[in-house]
Amino acid sequence: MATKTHHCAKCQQRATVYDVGGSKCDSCFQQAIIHNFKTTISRKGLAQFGDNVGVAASGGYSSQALIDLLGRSLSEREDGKTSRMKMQVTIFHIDCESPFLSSNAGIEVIQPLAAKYSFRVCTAKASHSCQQLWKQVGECLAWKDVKDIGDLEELSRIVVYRMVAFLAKSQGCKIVFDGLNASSICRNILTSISSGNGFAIPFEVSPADMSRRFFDISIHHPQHDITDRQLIRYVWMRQIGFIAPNLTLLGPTSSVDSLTVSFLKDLEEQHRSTIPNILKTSSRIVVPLQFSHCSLCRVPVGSNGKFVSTCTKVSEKNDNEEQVHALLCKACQHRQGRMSMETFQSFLTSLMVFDKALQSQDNE
Amino acid sequence: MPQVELQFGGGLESLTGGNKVVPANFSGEQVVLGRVIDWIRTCLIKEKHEYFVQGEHIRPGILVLINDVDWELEGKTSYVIQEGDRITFISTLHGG
Repeated sequence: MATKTHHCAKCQQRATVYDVGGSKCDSCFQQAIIHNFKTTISRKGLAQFGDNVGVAASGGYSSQALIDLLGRSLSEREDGKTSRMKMQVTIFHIDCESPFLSSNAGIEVIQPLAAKYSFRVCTAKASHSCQQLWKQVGECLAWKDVKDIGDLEELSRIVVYRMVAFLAKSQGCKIVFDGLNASSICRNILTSISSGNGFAIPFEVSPADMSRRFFDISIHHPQHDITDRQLIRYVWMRQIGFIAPNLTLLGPTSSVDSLTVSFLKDLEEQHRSTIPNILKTSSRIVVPLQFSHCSLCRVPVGSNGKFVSTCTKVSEKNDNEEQVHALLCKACQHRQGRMSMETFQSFLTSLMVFDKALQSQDNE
Repeated sequence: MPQVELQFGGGLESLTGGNKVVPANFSGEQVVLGRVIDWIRTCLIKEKHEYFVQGEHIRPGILVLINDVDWELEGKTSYVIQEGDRITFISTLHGG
């Protein structure tokens, strides 16, 4: 029995992409994605004309799509004329080794794509001060002592984002775009709820960074309204290389994040509008006016934050230490319970030193 | 006896021994895509089947393309494979 031919909802050519808003041909699908991307940047004020913008790139499909979308947005318009958007773009890639970070594999796919659009690439290994900070933080953590896979993933993310902020600051970028997309934002929202960090939701759901997590570096999410399925479809269609994890090393039930992703995928299979519904509903939560930040993961914290004591060096010139109080969000309080006190204190202290370095860059 | 090309991406290639492209022949006429998926599950993937299938169905979160067209537009598992078809499986479950 012959399959019925589907037509593009926009141009009536043969449809190749099954999409929530109606099936589309390759060309109309790509135009819709670019339009969505540019609209998010302009309507949410993520960057202004002439801004110096950083892009946090891991080499995965989402950040590769981000580089390509940004490149195309800056160089072309639908009517073929030169784009009105203008930004100086630098790609930031953290290539220090940790259990969940790639070393050279990411840069091998990032560099050709960055070169295509004449974007500069800046890596952690190429920055002496960043390497020094990595030594203080990344290497001090006894990764083998962290048994929970979810904790390992989150601790890696905590360090990587700080290093991206540090690199951005060193290159004069106050704005960084990351590859978080609609699906990963929904995952973060559900994970925040299940770990007791509901206070962070209005910050997580916003495409613009309103949390000031990394002092005066804003990390925005221009792919906020694009799902992971659409992004991977986009990079595949454009034949853009990306790195992918070795699935034999992980299990689908290995972490809260993985379980949440599986749950979302199952829901989406039956109810296609799951992701937009979660985003729309969550965006109705009012952003709190007053909040603090977790000293470990830097998410905004409300009344369920808890102060813990730790020791930190007064200065690099001597070994004198002073006792300081660190604030932990609910998720990090649970994380503390799953790690040895020594490992946790060592990591927390190093991060606070890192944050002091990041803040001192602010004052230069 | 149609010969098809199976492609794996998004990390699924780690389940097929690192092979991103696998040619395959299927005997008989009117071979549907469901039978191809069953063959992949039982003969090609040696471990971590849960990353590819959920019971007898493709796991939610895996994009399936038939000659670069979403399989939802081609009848999904009922699609009858043709000589020279390229069937692509891409996982969206990790990374990004």
